[in-house]
Amino acid sequence: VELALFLLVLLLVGAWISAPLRRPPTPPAAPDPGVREEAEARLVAVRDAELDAATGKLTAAEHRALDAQLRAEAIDALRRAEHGG
Amino acid sequence: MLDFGRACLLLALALAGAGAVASAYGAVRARAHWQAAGARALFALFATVTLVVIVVEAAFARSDFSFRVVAGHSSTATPALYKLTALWSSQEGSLLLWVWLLSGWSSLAVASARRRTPVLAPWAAAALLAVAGFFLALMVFLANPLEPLAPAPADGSGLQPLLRHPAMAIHPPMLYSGYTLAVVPLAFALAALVTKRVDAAWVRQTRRFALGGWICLTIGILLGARWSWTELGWGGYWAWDPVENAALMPWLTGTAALHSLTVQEKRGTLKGWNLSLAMGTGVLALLGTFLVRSGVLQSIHAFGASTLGVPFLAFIALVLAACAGLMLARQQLLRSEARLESLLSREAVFLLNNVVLVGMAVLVLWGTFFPLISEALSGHRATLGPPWFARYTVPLATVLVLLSGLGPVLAWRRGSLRVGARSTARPALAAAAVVALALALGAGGAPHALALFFAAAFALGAVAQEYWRGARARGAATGRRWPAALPGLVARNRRRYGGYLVHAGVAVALVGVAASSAFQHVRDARLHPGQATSVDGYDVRYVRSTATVGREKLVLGAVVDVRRDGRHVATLRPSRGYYPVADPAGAGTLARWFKGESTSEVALRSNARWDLWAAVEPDLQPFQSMIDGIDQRFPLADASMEPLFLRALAERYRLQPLPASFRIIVAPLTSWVWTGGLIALLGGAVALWPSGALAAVALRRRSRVPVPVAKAA
Repeated sequence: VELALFLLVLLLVGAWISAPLRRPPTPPAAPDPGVREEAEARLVAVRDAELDAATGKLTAAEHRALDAQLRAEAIDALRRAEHGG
Repeated sequence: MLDFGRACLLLALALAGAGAVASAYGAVRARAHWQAAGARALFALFATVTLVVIVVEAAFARSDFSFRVVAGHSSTATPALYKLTALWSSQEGSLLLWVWLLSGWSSLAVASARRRTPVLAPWAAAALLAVAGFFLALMVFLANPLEPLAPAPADGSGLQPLLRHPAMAIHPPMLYSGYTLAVVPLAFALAALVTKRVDAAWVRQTRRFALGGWICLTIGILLGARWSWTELGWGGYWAWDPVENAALMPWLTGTAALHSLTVQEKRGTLKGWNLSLAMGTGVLALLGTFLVRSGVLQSIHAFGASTLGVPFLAFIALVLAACAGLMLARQQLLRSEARLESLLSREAVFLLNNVVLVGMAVLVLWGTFFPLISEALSGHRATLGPPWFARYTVPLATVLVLLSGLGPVLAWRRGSLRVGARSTARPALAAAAVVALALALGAGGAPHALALFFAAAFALGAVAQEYWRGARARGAATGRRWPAALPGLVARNRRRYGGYLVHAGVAVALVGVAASSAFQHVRDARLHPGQATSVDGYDVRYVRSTATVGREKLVLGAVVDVRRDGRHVATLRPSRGYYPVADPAGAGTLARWFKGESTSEVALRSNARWDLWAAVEPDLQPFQSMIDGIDQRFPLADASMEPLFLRALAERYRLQPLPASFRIIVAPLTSWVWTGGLIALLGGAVALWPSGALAAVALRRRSRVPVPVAKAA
């Protein structure tokens, strides 16, 4: 029984692992998800700065300057994400 | 099922090897189908090791002593829960648990990475499979949990008595989860270096695993400390023991990494530092396992010395060499894209906190390995005790807590002295008030504790201020009052406000550590029933002795009455449990109960202000003649007579007024250690919980997006 059970496990594991090798998938030309996440991170930084300003950690002038800088970085990252990195 | 389990273990080793090769080949040649096969080998490895765990656990559950590991670590008298947890009390079982957890976390990480960071996934899978392969090889060749025992004995040796504690059922899986989760960032850091993708992609992929590992290590450390306080009977929760330090080191570097990874995510800086931290934490996790399992350093927690030291050290050296080699080869890529813009910014404080945390980790590493270092240099093994560790770690911990209050009140990137001074004024005032209160209560004699109280009050004040300011700002934006706005604020910024809770928890815990260490009162006394002693104003009277006979152990104890100014405070019942040795023929029917293991059952009364702790060591000398007499008069006594003798002995212990040695401790604020730990864990859970944005991203990904292929490095 133990041998039969193990052979069954071996068969299942072997068949499942080798499935991609028997039928190689065609690689799709998907954009690098990392670029999109980079853009999302830049947008989060803009929101973080807003919260920092709202909680008194940045003066209005400091926030204006930082916000402009962060938004420029976010737009740049979004452009790169749109063009697939 | 022994043979089935052994075959599955071999299959798991084969899967680790084949999967690592397939993943690496697929990555080098940019072959998607080989990468997919490698990933599937990892998932199959987890399934196969799960089968092995089920086989071994089933053997423990049904007390199948034809498994050597079951016979050596369980018995028919072992309670059902401890039969299942006995798996990780053994060397072999620990390794099995390690691989099982590693393969589980690795499967999760690689499944996610195949969609999010497809370039890194195959290399990370190869690294994770290689680590799993090493541990599987250890099991197959050196410490097999499926070793047969023939002929199978009628009963097993039983579980080590000290491990029969609820905390010990959860403590090892938590520590091992922490260690194995720390290997995931190590694997992705190696993958980032191999593929030259040293941007924040690997950070985003592994941050949650790093945080999960930190939470598990925190739970493991807290449970270990709690077990030490309530079970070991020496009167402390932290002894700077090598096994404790083994968990603390990756916790320290892991904490540093959680902060600096955030800086890289937000600023693109600290690339090389973060890679080093992730790899260092992973290596320290391997080193931690090595310390626990090798028996190379003496520890109160080491339950199984072994011969695994040499292969473990060789493997750690190999991993270190791979890390160092890749770092050197890629040093040109590790320059930061951005610079530190202000010394009064949050990232500047994060950097400082990293220096302190890594400094503490190096210190603990040096102190832990000092016995080996001193032996190698002078031939004499010298150890560094708690005073040495405290001398350096207490000031560093104070600075760390102060920084944990300073970070939250500063902004990312920008900061000015004026805004900084305004933000720190209230927390500083709160801290000064707390110090004044402590001085009024007579804490002036412990300047280190006072400094820590100041730092902790500052941190707690800063966190409270941040919650209040944030809720007020959110309330203003949403038209709600600030208490109603608070949940929304936390839900929108889980990492930030979860992190603040962690800071508050650590501050509370360290206040408990400082107070319970600096202002603890200990009294060791030998008392007869009716006699009393006093400790820190408490009158402690030994009222009477107690004795009970159980199936597994004989328990001799005491009833202790505690009063203050004549008023009853508590009745404590400390005791000591005696477990018999397995071979009655060699030791004597009655004597065998006193030649085996014995454990202290601590009596504890705890509240927010103090812990009253008592342990007892019965004086067995007067019983020796009775024990020897019975064993001599009834040399052929069988098992059926044993309960009779034990009951007679217990009865005599209850009636005869014998002295006993007591250790009584009054330790202020000890419960703050556990409360602080729970607050920190709550904060960790808040930070780990997926935010709305992440949930939406996850929802998008649930739609069948095709898996991108890693291009050749």
